[in-house]
Amino acid sequence: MFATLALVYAIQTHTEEVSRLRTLLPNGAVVLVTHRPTADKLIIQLAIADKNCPETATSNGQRHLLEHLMAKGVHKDVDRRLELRGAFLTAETDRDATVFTLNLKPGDLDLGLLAVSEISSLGEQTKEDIAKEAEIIREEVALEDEPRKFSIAAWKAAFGDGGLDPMGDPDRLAQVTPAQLSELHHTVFVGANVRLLIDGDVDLDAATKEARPVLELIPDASYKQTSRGRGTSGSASIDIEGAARAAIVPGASLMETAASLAAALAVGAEIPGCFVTYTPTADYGLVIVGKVGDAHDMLHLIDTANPDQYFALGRSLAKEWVLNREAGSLGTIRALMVAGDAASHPEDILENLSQMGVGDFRSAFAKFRPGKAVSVVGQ
Amino acid sequence: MIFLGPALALQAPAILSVPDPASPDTCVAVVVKLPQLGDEDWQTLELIAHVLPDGSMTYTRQSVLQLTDGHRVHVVLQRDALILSVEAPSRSSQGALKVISSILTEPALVQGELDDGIHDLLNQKTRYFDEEISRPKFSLSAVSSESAVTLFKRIIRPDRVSIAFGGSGSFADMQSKWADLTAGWQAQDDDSFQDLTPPKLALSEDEVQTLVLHGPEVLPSTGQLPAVLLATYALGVGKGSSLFRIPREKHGWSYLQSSFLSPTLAGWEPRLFVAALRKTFTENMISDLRQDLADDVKSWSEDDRTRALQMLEATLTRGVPYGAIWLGDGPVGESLQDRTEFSDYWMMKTGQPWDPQKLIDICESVDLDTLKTTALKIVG
Repeated sequence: MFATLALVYAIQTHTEEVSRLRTLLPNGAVVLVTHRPTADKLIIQLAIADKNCPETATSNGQRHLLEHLMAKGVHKDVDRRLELRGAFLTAETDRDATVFTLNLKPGDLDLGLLAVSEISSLGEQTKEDIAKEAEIIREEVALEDEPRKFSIAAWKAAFGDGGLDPMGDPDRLAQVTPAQLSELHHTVFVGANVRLLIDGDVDLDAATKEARPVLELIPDASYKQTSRGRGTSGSASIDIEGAARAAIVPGASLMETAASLAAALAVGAEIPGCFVTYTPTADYGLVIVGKVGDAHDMLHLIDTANPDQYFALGRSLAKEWVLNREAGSLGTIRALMVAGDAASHPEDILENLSQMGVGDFRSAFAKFRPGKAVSVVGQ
Repeated sequence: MIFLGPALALQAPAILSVPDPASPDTCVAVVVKLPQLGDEDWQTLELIAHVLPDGSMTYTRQSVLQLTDGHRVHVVLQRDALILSVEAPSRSSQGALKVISSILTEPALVQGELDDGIHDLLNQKTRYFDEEISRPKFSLSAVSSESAVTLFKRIIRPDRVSIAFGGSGSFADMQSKWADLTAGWQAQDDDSFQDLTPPKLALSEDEVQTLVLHGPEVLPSTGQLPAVLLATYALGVGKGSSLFRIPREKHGWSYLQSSFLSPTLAGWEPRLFVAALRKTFTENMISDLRQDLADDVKSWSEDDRTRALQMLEATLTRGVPYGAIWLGDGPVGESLQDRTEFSDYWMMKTGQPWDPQKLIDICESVDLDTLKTTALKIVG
């Protein structure tokens, strides 16, 4: 059993001072409350890590299916009831966590916590419910854009099955049974995987006190945390014109990762039409820069440019990238980082960017070059 | 507070201020009101819009990035407006002004850039919703620099343009600097447009197709906008909307459905769309959808009206990113750039300052019967 542990800290962002209270509950769940005095909305995020049940070839996509069904609520009408009060629920499943985000009116903490309580419980599901949702996921898969396809290829090349895309195969998902889904819910929904983030003009202690009962009933469970491994450089081909280069990076809180993000964003700003992808994680991951269509200009720049001239630009863009993905901007960066490691936060990336030297940036830039990078070549 | 400069001056553009003292950045936005354009002119303008972010005759792409601390020029082209904007840290606001004024007065419409742009546009993949935002498939094989410059000067004239300064920084200083930078900018006399061929819409070749229902055009001056806007929200914004409940939850046809107001030259047209795999479509899908939506609208209660109002408020004031008021190819967001661009655009379109709370208040006066009648007209 963990002892309850609370940690208060204050952070000065570029525009306002915010304070935070992080509380570790006995079952391993974490409540992280942010007091943002100027907030015009209340954001509540429920992050569920998958540290004890990562994607495998056989389970691929099941967490995503679970997310779709949980988001409906026990009575399958949670959205409509929230929207009647001006609140809005979104959900996304990434490789290492699922995040539910509620955008509420500033004073609607009760409503938000009630909704969290409801979506935390998987209501009764029939085989027909699952088959129908698998068809909706089929439609979702069809909407995937080209950058995502480059990303999927890069992850597969770097990490094999450990880098499987969480979207899943709709044909296989349609075969998932209600019992399998219920078992997955029991496995993944344990205290050590669950993080509840509250961000708004709220009292730190009062909001934490109100949130605790929502999480305290979640079972405690010990398990061995898995890692997808360090990954390997290499290459993959894809049936889309274009190219992508990915740098293998360690956890989001490390300098190497911040510098790689800065390098990718500098390339992306310099070459029109580029995309940059990074999903913060505590595990090894990828920072990807790519371009759909003729990508020779991007590859030429990566392979021949003097990184020093992009140092200031990359740092500036990376800081903005982090700030734009905060909860107050409906971003999930904090939820994803806390899901992987309760003590990590976006300020780690900002601090690393402030401390970043030209040498760090040069090394990071080099990670996108042949030999070190994961290359995806479009056909 | 929104300050309005001279609104209909013949030469001097209107200038708006969209203050946000808490923002570390400044945004300079320009809205160009478009005339009716034929297919060839429209496509040439699309090419121009594609190459404009690359800078001007004075400022290259690299020097733009340096002047703005890494921000690129953002360009939106929609049926009624061409919008340019760029952000920069407030300490670099002069750089943002220089970049935008330079692009307006000396765009880099050189042959090499245009040829590269044509290559990009001819090879760009059509997205499933392009048809819904009236973006015809690009088909021009060549555009001369001379013709591009001529069209640019006919369209981008001081009397068609309004400017907005957003964020922190001194409005008076920016206004003064802007006047200096654009002192020699004058409209050409020729304001005629010979090519009035209606634009052609291209069907998507993707495996994802889009079913669209078009509602009747609404003009800003007629007083019908609040009912049409609220009906658009009730029909297709949010997961309690008719479009979510019927095509997705009832039929399982689609992952993505939405509704929005698509700009026309004079006003807006409500559109409902359902994106679905080609194989999901059936012969009767449109008629079935119309009938289901009409039946649903007839059953609406005060709850549906309340939900639509709440979603309107959530999207306009709290950053819920799925609103029915779009700029370019997506809903208006809450970034400084979006707020600055949209404030400028709304003034151009309606002659009124953008005041989301006022719009919400007006929409609250739409009663349930009016909402249902309006929605039934949209559904058709």
